[in-house]
Amino acid sequence: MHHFAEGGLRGELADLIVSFRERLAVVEIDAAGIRVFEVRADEVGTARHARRASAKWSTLTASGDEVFDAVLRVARDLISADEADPVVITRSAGGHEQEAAVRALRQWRPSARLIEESGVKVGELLGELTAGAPLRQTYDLVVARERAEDGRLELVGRRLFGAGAQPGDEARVAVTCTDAGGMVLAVSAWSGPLQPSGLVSADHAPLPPGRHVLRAVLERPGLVRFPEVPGLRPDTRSWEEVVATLPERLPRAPRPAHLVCAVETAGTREEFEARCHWAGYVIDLLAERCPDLQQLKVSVVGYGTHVYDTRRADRSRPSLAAWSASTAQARAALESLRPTTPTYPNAAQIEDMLAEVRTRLLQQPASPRTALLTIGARPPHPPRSGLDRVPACPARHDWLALLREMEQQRGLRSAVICDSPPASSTSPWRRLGSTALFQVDAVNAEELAVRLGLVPEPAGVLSLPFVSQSEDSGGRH
Amino acid sequence: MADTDSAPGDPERGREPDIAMWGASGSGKTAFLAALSIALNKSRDAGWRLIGENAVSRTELAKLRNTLLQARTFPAPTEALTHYSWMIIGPAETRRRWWWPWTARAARAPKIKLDFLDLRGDLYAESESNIDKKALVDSLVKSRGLIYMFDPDREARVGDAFKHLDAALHEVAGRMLVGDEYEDGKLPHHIAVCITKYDDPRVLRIAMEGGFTERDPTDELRIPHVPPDRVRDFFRLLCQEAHDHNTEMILDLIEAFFHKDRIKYFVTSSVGLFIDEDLGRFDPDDYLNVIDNAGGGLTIRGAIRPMNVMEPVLWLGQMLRPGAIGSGRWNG
Ligand SMILES: Nc1nc2c(ncn2[C@@H]2O[C@H](COP(=O)(O)OP(=O)(O)O)[C@@H](O)[C@H]2O)c(=O)[nH]1
Ligand SMILES: [Mg+2]
Repeated sequence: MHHFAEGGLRGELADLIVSFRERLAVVEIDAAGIRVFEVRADEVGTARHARRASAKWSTLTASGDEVFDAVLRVARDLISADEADPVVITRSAGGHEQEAAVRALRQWRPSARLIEESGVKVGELLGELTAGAPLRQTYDLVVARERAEDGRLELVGRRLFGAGAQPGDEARVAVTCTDAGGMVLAVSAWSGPLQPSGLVSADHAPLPPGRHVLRAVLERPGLVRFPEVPGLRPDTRSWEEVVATLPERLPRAPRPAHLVCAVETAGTREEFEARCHWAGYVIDLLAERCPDLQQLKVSVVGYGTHVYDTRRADRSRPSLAAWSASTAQARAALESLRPTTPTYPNAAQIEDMLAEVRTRLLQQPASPRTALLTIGARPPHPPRSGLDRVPACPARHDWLALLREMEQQRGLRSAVICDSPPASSTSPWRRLGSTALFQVDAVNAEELAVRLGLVPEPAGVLSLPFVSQSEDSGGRH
Repeated sequence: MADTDSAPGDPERGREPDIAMWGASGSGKTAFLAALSIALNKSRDAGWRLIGENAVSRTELAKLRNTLLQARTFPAPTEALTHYSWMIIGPAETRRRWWWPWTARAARAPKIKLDFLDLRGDLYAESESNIDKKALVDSLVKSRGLIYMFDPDREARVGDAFKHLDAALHEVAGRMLVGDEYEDGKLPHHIAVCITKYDDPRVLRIAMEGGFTERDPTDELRIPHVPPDRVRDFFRLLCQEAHDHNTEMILDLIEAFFHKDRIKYFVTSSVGLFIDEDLGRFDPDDYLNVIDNAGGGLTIRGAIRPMNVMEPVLWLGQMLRPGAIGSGRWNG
């Protein structure tokens, strides 16, 4: 595959195809006529040739022109006047027209090299030489990695082939596929160190998630093959489209999480069951989404209404059906709850439930993500009875103070599902539902779980190869 | 007549009512009556009783008391005119003649006749020809003692007390003051102006925050009271807080129609404040005694401790029959 050593036209053109900057003109003169070829490099540095003009001598002179004038006009039109752009003339026959043509070309570009050689088809030779030329730019595989400062994904290049690499060269690169849908192998070319000059190719590789060592072969400039990836096919999207689908970050590895489901038991069977339905639904959703169930803890608390028309203050407490249990245990605990008859219509024992949860939570070592989901109809009792004529909690628990304490000390996120919309903008439901507030007949459980921080945000999947910081030995932005 | 029990209306000649009552609908009249019998029963000065003069009034009285004590809720709103004929009967005072100490004269129990027309309180907003209204005005004209119920909560929300009172007083004055009988141009009644529902947070809060309340050092429940000399000012303040600007003029209206020394202001509650029995004293964070119940009605939460319910009645009795209820115990 080496064409340098032979000298003559082949050797001359091979050298020029490596070294030319903007344009290389090759004029083929033979017995029949004249053909002008041009070689240019595309934006990613691949040399491409094209025949720009072709004429028989008879055609050139048909309108009464001299050959000299006709060729000079063609040269002015098609051949760069810039001395930096080389011109090669190859002549395989002698004669009047051939002489005139060379003179005209020499007049336009005095530095043009004349090579007398026969039996060579210049078009074919140029095709062969450009395909076998070494790379004029560096080729990288585009990969994503996490920025050290903040974990955001950024795109960098992993070197496949440096400038000067020869067709047939091979490279290996280790990457991780993060999505079950496979990944896009995009090769970008770099003319300088600052930014890629363009995309050489982008192909979809249907590889399974996990680490892969890819073998890349430089077929020819502008064509990199990954012979060991079966089913590779061109990705027809624009690069902008590909980039637009990329997530800002990789989904976090699961961290321990604790969901406390507090369900009001007071009400009709239908009301109660609608509340339990959503508690169960959210628990199931988490169980399904959580890659490691060991990391997920669920608590279930049932609470009812206070009793006020007895001689002594009501000391009943919410029932803790499960604490920091598995999703299966939480499910069973939820099943064990029973509806209760409301003993007071306008408020329920939310504050007592919060007190119970707070005591439990603060006894545990600071756990990472703690979320409270309260599902019920009635707001909490105030610590002191107010103008709205809702009697104070018998134990004087202060729901707002308890909520704040857990938010501050345990980073608690609190969401609610209400039977009906909160009565006013100052309703405690709004504060309790500061993370999310849904009505029981219109719950977006997915969004609820995301807002509670229990499942990652639905981000775009990373469709590019990923390299972790540790294995990222180099590369450039 | 100072040492007899019957006057001015002699029992033998079919007595006129002594005391009439009025106030807007929902101001608490029926509840007040129900509480009155409980209050008299609870009174340390045993011996005072509320009795019905006829069978209807007697069963009605029993019903009212039961509603409060057994059902622990308020009597249903009065739908139609109900005429109660009641009498408060005191302990018979046996009088001994100093010169003949070993025989007692036949005792006579002091009696105050209450005539209560319990009616829908929005009468005065309605047409002139209302029979209920005529019956009320008749009863006001015939009586010499009035209990006027002022509901601060209703005033804060609806604010129609001025309109009612103004219309009623002009009606009564039109009937009584045209002749020469009352030369000073004032109505002859004694009037007990009762602020109702003191237990309601919207009333008690204003009293406490306005600095109107005091603690009675002898009261182990430590219930905040508005002392008698401050009730008039408290009443004025409540009138100012009302929904309707005219309410501010109620006090002036009353004082224009009645002799100043025949007006007395009371802060009342038919059910009293809630006291947690474990705590055993008033708790400013938890005194709500009337709460919504699961059935959509109201429930009286704790013990019923009527506040200033018998006091206005006995004050009027004392004023109307000074000899009969002479005890200074009823002055406050
Ligand atoms: N908190 C409180 N509410 C009362 C009291 N008395 C009456 N009420 C309320 O006022 C409503 C109307 O009372 P009622 O006696 O029927 O008024 P009336 O229309 O003047 O006879 C009752 O149903 C209770 O809700 C009281 O002493 N305290
Ligand atoms: Mg009534």
